[in-house]
Amino acid sequence: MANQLGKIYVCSACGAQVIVTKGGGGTLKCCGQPMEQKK
Amino acid sequence: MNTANFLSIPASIFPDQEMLVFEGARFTYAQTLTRVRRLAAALANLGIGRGDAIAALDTNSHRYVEAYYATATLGAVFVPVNYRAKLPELRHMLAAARVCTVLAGSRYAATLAGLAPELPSLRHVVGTDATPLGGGPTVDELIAGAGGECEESAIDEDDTTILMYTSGTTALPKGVMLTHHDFTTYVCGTVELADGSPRGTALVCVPLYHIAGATAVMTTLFAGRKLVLMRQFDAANWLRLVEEERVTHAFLVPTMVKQLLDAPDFARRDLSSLESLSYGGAAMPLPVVRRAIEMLPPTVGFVNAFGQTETTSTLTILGPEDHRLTGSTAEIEAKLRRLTSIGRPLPDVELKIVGDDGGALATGAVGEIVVRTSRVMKGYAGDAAPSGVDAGGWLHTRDMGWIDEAGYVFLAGRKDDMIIRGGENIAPAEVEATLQLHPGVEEAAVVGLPDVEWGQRVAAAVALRPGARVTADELSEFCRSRLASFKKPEIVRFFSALPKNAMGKILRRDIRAALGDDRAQGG
Repeated sequence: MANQLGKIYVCSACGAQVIVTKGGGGTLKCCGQPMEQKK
Repeated sequence: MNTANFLSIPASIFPDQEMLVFEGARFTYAQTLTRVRRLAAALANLGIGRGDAIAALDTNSHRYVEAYYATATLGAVFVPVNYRAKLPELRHMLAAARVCTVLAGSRYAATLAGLAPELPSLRHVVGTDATPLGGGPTVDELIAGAGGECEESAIDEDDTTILMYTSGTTALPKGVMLTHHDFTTYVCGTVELADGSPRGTALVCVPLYHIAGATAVMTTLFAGRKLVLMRQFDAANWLRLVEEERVTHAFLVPTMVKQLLDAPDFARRDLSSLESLSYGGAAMPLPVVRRAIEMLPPTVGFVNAFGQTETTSTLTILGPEDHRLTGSTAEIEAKLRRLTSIGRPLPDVELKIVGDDGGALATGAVGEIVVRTSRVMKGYAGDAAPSGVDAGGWLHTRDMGWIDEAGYVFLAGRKDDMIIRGGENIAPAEVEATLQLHPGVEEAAVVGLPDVEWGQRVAAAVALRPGARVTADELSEFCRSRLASFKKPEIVRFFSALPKNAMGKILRRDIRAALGDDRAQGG
């Protein structure tokens, strides 16, 4: 996450999307699973 | 992330919040987002899409802001051009960018009509005023006639979103390709996303074709701060707007700061709302910033922001604490010295000083400032010039400087402006700072002139304060008594005012030309 500023993540289960406006050290999860970076 | 999200995200959270004020017109986030998306749809109907170049040739307005976000929405490239550019510069910028559309104010109609035959890629001209421009539609007509709204298109974060031309103080303007990634990194790293808490009001008066103007708009809107936009800077209006709109944040160039302090209205206006006053774009004379600190409310936090177009704005800042002239005598003296610095690098910027061999120099040694940050430009358009980025990822800024023992960076002039007299390097900034210590000097610029005997000679262009009477010999002696003797100006020429660009940056090529003519005439 540290270098993921501005990246968009998608939940492959429900389709939710989030934009990272402040990077951190963790992993984004949704519906119990890691979210995938949108290409 | 598409930079159009800087508008659409806060607009989705706070649609009814007042967002933009321009010459009496007021817009909420929702109203602006609707206008932007309708304008994007209308431009798409004209056949404009991802990668196409849309230029803006106008003074600041709400339509200018909308035009940028509509362009970003389409994934197209926005090309904001300097409305003060001379005709050859304008031709160069519009042709090199291969613009397909120009959005322009009516005052530029004749200029544009003259240039159009030389711009084969130009297909559309859109007026940014209420009246049409050369038979083309206006922005408002496009918005009104749009069949719907267009949402942000998919982009690659390394797509260029703004092709911004450098000020061209030394040569023809170069097109700096700045990507969605560059601005995302800058904006997200500089401000917090709007969260409904009061974020104040920002007054933007610098031209939007300049990196300081473009980033000021982006950070202001993303943070949920109300944007009060001025068409062009005017001291009396600036003071009025601060009072009437309760402005909390503003950015000025040094010449604007001086004009404000000298304005007849200054003492009459209520400036108590001001919390943060940033300045940059050109070197700030020490006497001007000292006067500003003394004359503005003590609650104002001053910030000197130094950066380049090539680095998507700010690299270093000298913060509010450095401007508070309090503490022991030694602390105040240290702060006064540092007021002539550009502060320290931002957290996402690595900075060092290197010599001609590329090796890092020790504290206090003058060399070229090189920086490494993830928001360095993609390059110059059309490979107009080498990017200046070395194999290690360091951008060679061509600004000379040095770092003190506490990490504060001081500028010593442009690398191309360094004077070499008889093998001795002379930093123009050092001589200029010395001249500005003279009570009769309003502003000064120092350049090197060709000389058969010494290679170069030190020449100074000086503007005196009103009523001051100082001779060239007195100024030369003033410098000789404070600097190594070879650094003193051997030629001093007086000007009523020094030539500058819109950002207050001194035009050294004009000064060189004037001083060269002077020398040729034996002056």
